Amino acid sequence: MTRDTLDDLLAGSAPATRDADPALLRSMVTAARGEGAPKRARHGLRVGLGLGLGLTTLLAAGGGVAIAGGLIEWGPRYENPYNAFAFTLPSGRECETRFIVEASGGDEGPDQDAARDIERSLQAWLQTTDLQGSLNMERARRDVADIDAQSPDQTVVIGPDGWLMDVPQLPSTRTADDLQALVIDRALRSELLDHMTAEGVDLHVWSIIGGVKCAAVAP
Amino acid sequence: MSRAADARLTATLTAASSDLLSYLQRRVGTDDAPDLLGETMVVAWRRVAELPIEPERARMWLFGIARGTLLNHARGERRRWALADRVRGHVGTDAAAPPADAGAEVRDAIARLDPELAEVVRLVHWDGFALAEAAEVLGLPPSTARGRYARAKEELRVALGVGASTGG
Repeated sequence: MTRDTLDDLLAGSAPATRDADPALLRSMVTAARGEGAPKRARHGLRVGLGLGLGLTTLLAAGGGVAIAGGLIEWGPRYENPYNAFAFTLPSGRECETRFIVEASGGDEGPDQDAARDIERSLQAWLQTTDLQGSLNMERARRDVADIDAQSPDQTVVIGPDGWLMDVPQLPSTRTADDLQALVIDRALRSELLDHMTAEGVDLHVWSIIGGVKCAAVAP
Repeated sequence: MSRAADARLTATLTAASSDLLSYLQRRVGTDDAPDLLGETMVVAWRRVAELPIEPERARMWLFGIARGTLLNHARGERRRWALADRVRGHVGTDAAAPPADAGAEVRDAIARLDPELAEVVRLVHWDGFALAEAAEVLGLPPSTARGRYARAKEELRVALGVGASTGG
């Protein structure tokens, strides 16, 4: 059988790739294992875009104040977030989101001074800003609708351990709690990004990493 | 997390990481790919309880997670992972680098397809997946993947002026 010319063209169009040292990849696997479970205390400010959580009320607490009355346990990684927000889902379930800023280069290198500058700027802004009043929830709902349209077979839900997480499920499987969590997450993210952009922070260099975790559901 | 699951995920990630990196490089380039690989690995560890037991299913599960990181990337989310520094800037040169414009016309034609059709073509022809495997990565029924693939090739034939194969 004559090979399909189109198949040859398609195969030949693949972009070139570059191999990585297998030893480096193995070390990544090990490092990722440590990151995967939030246990390690990190020093300094990390900016990370938070996962989404939806709650009916939002309280902003600058300076890393833990909220939710200790109902939610955070691993050491998030012990010193520069900000934390608590909120309540439609079901009454309490959740909290914490953000940390991560500069490229991790904890080493000259970027840490810049990271701390960004942190101080964000802390000062959060302490003087009524976030609950300024969040654009309508825009966030539109963002979620756009995401659903672009990723019809994947969505974000509150997982069995309380963390907001990506799952290969239809958006229609989300609960009201899941959806509200995601909307608030998107709203918070947009607000933080808008502020960082206004401050001239290069979002290709800095990222915000956040955890959204909800208290256990009573059996 | 059980030790057995820990060992299985370590083995699966180690075996698949090079292919995962290539998969990501083909879509976002060599600069961003290490961070998406790092994110894929971290998400996999967070979801280790869901790791399929059968090795080939586990491998496809990882590619599904990697695809999720690509979707986040496409939405404009950017995360830099310190663990990706191990690889970022330390990848080798192109194994057999084609001329810069080689395949450009075909890549453009693929990019002009509906995104859902384009990804099936990429998974099959760039990443070497069988159509059934591509369906699994995309979370589609095999019949849906077959239909999208057929439509994609039809549109590409027209766009590129390539006739159907003949012979027997």
